[in-house]
Amino acid sequence: MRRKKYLRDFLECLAAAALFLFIMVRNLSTVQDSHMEQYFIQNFMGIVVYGTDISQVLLQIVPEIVVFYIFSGVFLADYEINFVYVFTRVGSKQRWLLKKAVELLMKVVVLWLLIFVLSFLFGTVGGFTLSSESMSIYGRLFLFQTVSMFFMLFVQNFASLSIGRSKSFLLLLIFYAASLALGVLFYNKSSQINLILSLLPPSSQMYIWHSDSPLANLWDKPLKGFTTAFSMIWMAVLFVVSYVLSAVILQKKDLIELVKGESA
Amino acid sequence: MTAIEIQNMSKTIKGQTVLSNINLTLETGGSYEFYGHNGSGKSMLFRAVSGLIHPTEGSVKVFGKELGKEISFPESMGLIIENVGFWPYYTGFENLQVLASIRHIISDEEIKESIRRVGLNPEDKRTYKKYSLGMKQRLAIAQVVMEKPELIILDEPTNALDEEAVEAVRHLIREEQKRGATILIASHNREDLKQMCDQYYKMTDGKLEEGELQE
Repeated sequence: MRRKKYLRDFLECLAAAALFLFIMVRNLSTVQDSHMEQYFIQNFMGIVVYGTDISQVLLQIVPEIVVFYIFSGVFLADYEINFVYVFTRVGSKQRWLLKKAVELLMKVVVLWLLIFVLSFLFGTVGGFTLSSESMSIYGRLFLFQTVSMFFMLFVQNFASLSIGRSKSFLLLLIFYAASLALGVLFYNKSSQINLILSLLPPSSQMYIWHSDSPLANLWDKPLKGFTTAFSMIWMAVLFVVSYVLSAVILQKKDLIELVKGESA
Repeated sequence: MTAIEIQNMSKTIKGQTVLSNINLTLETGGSYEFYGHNGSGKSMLFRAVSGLIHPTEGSVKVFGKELGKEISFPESMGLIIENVGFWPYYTGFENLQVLASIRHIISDEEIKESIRRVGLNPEDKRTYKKYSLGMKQRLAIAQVVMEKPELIILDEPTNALDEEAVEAVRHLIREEQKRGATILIASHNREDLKQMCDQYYKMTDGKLEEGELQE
């Protein structure tokens, strides 16, 4: 039974990863350099828009949106059935929340590992070579993708308990697209806007916006002070605050009042 | 030993009092029936005892531990409350296997045995969505008893069951009584579970009073 569940989870990840194949295949011919890290950067550096055509943002975030959708029902999965069967066995609401957060994190990590492995295979077939000097770039790219995506999915999944999967997914979609469109339109327009942009969770996924990325010189001017360390610490703070808040809400509210699912 | 101790418990939802000053002490190993019309507060009382709602006033202790303070839910409990529902694309056995995997205290054979006890076939390859209403209810009862809980809460357990299945439920309750489980049953059809319990309580408009055995 557990094998069946893991297989289903893995197939979900595989389906989500498949969407990134288009990007990988396209970039096989667009990257001039023969180094593998350049190929990875091209695949996962974030949104690149020339001019202010924000419709390009929407096109480029399609794979992420699909991933968000696939993982938008992790918390609600226990409510497909009579949720009291699950909760009363887990024994504690806090334990349940922790269990679901870990499950979500594992799914996001497995997905991105899969995407990175696929990217490596495509890169190897495409003739790109690995160099040991730039290994940290892979780590950073992986962190940027997984941490920000996990945080946004955690908040969306918790919200789905009260407002349902569809509404919470739609809100995440709007927030994600609007944040990135805001970045494209107002990037480096003023220091205040830069500060706001660096505080928005989707910005953490944008390797290209970070001031310490090797792309900083190529991409106009990066967001001042938006370093990898700042990005990761800020995401960690946001996650801790959201987790504690979710735990308090879960503890204080009646389950029957809190969990409305799709009927909300 | 006291299984459940409710003191001055009231519950107000959106300004409406749904449970009013409930005081109740139930001994371990007893079986108790709560009856009353739909909306009288039986289900709400069961939700409070199972930790699904917090009292607005007063306290609920289960086996000496206060719900919401010392524990979130009773530690050893099987219940049917609200609507019956399982994962539609798994078989009955697979559904119970997933639930049993949360606590890991019973084997696959014990799961199968509990399915047999309610008159279903654990080898049945049909998925849950193909089950009839009565089969769904039987599976829900199997999930209640499979882990041999100390506290059993059954809210309208004979809903959707035919006479044969009702008899199976009666038999199961008797077995659980013998095992020493504390059993709480709510029913608006008192004929179904006639003369099965040690004590009877009547609920009216969120208030609890001593009931009587219906002859």
